[in-house]
Amino acid sequence: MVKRSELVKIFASMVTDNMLVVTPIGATSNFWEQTGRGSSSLTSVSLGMCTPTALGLALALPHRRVIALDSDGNMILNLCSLGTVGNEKPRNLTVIVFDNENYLSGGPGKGKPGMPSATAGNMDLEAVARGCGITKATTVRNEAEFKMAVEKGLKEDGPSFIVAKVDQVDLKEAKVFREDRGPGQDTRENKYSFVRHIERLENKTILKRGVS
Amino acid sequence: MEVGKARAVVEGLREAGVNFAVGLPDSQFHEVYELIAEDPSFKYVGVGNEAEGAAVAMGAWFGGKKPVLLIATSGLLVATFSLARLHLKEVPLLVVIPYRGDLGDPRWMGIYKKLTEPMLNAMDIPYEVVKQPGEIKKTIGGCQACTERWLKPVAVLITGEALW
Repeated sequence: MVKRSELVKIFASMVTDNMLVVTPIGATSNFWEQTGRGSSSLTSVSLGMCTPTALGLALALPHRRVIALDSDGNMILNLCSLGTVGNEKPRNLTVIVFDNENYLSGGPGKGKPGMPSATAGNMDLEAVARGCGITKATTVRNEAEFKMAVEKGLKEDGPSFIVAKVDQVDLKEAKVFREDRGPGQDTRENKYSFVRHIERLENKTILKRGVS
Repeated sequence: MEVGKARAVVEGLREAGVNFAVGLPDSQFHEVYELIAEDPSFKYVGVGNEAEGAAVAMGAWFGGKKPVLLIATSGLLVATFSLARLHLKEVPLLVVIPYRGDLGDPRWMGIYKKLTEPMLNAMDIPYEVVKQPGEIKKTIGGCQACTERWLKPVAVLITGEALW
């Protein structure tokens, strides 16, 4: 099995600034922020909202690649969003799910998996995605497979769906983040920096100055 | 619901600049969904639950769209968590709801009357209640302007008196 933090680093080396990344609340956002890309992404999107938010973004900006870096617990909470993705079929959307098969990795510093998510049992997210009409769905279990799947997902028309099975515990990294999370951004600051980033990319005004 | 009243809702949204609609159909608002889905002025996305819908709408707003969330009164309860997060982020979103449990409702839905307005107040989501068909367009326009200026979700509750 592979560590989520390592896959996030690999992913960061493969995306360009003109692609838009959405990350969910939890360790994935922490790892993503550590790559230095947090302020040009929408981070710490709340439970169940990551993939649907990325879908809305992808539909609004069909010419621009949008990637959701989701996780199993978040995805399961709003599983119906896969049905919406499968029906809307945005060609510019790539959904990556880091699947550690448990909730909260036992909590930072605890060194053991948390309570199991449904993917620890019978749920196969790739099969769910396929059943929803997302034909470009795959499951990867190591760095080489991940890199190949992401490369394909970013190059080809989507929607594509990649389940990356990762270690159950992010222990070491989570502890580091707890003790040294760096300056980071709060949720409103992140909103402004992300929307300004999109305004620069798209050369248009989304949020008028001085309205609030 | 009379088609003319459904048209007033759709025209109100169009005139307010709304161009992205996310919804989960409600029996009392069926004609609105049909009109919007056919109208090229809007991109319509049908979702599986209202919390998902609020998130899709938020993503569309970041992409420069002016979204509306069209949901049932019961759906507002489902959307609560997502709307709370939008509120925290200060993301604008117009929410239009056929108001069950108020005068004009063909069935007793008093539980929604009991919950809806106290819940919107508790969430600090401003709202307007529309009781006359003639108020539909103006109220939608006013609430859309407010959500954009205030950077928070704003709701329009349209009662049975106005809709049926």
